[in-house]
Amino acid sequence: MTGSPSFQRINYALRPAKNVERKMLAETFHHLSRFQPVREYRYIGLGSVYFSDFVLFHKTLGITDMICIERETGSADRVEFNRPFGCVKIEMSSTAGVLPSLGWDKRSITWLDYDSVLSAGTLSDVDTVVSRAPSGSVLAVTLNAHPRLLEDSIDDMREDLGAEILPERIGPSDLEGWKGAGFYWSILSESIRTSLERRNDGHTDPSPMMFEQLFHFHYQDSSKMFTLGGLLYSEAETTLRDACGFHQLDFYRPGPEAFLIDVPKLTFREIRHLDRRLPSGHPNEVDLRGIPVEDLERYARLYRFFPGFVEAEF
Amino acid sequence: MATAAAAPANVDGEKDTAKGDPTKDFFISMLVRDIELTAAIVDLVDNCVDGALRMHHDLDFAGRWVRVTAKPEQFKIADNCGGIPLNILKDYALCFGRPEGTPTTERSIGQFGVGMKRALFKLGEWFRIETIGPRVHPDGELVHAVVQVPVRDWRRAKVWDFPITEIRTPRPDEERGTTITVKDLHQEVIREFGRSQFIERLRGEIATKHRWNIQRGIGMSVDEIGVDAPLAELFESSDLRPGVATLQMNFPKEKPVVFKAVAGVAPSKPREAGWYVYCNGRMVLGPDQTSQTVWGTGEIPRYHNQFAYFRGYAFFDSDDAGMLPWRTTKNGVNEDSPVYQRARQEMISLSRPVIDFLNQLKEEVEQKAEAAPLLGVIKQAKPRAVEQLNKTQGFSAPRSTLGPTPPEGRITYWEALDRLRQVKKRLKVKSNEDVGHLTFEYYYDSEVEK
Repeated sequence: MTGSPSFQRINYALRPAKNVERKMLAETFHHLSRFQPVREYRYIGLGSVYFSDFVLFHKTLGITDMICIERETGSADRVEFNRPFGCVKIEMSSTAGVLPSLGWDKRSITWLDYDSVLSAGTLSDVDTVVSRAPSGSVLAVTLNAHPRLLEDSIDDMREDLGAEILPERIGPSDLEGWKGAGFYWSILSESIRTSLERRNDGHTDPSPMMFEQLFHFHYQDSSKMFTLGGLLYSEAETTLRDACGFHQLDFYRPGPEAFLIDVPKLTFREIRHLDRRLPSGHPNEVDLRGIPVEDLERYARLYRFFPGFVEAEF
Repeated sequence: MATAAAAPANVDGEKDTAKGDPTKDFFISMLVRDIELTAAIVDLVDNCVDGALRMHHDLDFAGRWVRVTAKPEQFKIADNCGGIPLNILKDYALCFGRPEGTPTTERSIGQFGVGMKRALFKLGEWFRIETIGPRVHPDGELVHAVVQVPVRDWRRAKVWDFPITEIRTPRPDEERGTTITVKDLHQEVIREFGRSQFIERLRGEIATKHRWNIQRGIGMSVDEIGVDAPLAELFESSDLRPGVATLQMNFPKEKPVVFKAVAGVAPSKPREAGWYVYCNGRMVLGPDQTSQTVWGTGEIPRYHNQFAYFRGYAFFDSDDAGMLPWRTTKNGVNEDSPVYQRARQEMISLSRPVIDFLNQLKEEVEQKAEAAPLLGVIKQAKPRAVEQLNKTQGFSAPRSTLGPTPPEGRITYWEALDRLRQVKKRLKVKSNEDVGHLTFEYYYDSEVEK
């Protein structure tokens, strides 16, 4: 690129790992076309004033039925001002107010991208979606799993969630590092399973509904973040699910093991240099030029989703 | 169709019978219907505790343990609480109901003759009771006995008895106790055992129902994680004293019932506030915030969150468990029981001054928030174990010294933002409310007070 400074580094205020996650999700959603053309899906998100997910999904997937839920009623003007496209509908209310009141006949992608820690409200929202969304729908949940925040909040969380979910014996040492995210995974997985069991007990669907976990991300731009997501599908549509081929995705994680989105610090030149040898370059083959091998490996895992520098705010 | 012309011969005096046999399937389904899975498992724990009681009349249960395993493949409850005496196993333990002559355990929890069978049928279709206990006499010869029942087969059989499949002498290393195993679990049970939330709930139930017994030394665990029972405590200081009431009820020709109730103040926790009721050391109700205890009856208001500091503990003890006011599921109280009705009068008397105190506290906090003097009284008090509070006394606490707020009127008006900003700057305040207060004070001090 002519004119760009050669040692310019990525601006971490722009959350590169989050950017990578968003693109990985977009790539996953492409695979849904076996159920129905993705552009015909509905997208529900919590865009705040940036709407980055809405912009990406509209542009790359063509989705037009889009709903943004924004809880801070004081920001209504600002959110409206930043609305990126005419097709984005803004609901100024809480998820608890909006999700149950939506119709759920249409295949939907719902990304509950909360900034906060796990709460009873989160589980309630998950239950609302899992118990109603039709086969071929996707649900993703993102939560803040930062140890300091969890430590400070743990008593309130216990009061909110109850000792059945967060027993007294769980203390700060159980939330260090990525253990808090591990908790989230166990609690949410069980919650989803229970919601499905209840849904299926009622026999209101033509065939039993299942959930397949597709992604399980850990990443940290500033705080440690956790995302769990997957596909809701009817047993009768298992062949469609198979045809989607989700397991071919490099970052596909169906269980307790998470995919760590770890964005290495590289210069522009280094990125161009590594790109020329990917996807098949091995560390011995590539002339490393002082780049640590670990950084090469980290880059190789997600180079296709690496934030581009033209896309400063996508 | 017979004509009415002539009555058929041999009708007068004819006798016949309408069948009234119970079917096992019906019986089992009625038995298990009204009890929740956690309550059924706690019934089994109750039996273990009764065993410990037979071993230790002094209520010191150190060294006794109960271990519950709740997995989708099998359920197991094992204890070292003395074992089931063989004569009891043969003649009484597996009957439905209590035949005449059933020996009673003093101060027992089990008394309806149904807990164990109900739990076993609730759990699954195959069970095995293995026990090492005395043949007859508590200090006599020990026997190892096994009852193993494939319930599906039992359902089809005519008899109601269960086979004792093995009787032998125990090895020297085998400890006295009982292990009950259930396999071929019902679908709903398999599902629940697979949920960590359910297991935590079970732990919580065992902890609350058996708080006292755990404190007296019985080690309890579920899936190898111990069940902890924190002490029940009330705040006490030179200014603040919990209320204690004790009664002995001597009904003619019956064993006496001893009643003790303690009420006072503990950390503010809505989920834990209210009355707890125990029968022979086993919690049957709590934390109760309804009219089943005192709330909304007579002079006591309905429960509100300002009463989140309130704790009341009521204990009923008797050598004859049948005298106590519990229900067959051991959840909730039998409000019709004269024992309970009399006791409830005491519970209400104890509650009233605590509620007065908490109402005053609420007023003070509304006026002064964290600086409320009564809040300071609570903060300076120390927690005291309810077990240690035995001397009859009324609840006492300081009265609020803050006067009632004088009647107030509200002033609301609009001013141009420009002028408002200027005044704020001069007064060095940020809020409109402060501007209102200070300008009013200014006028009052300079024009009215003189």
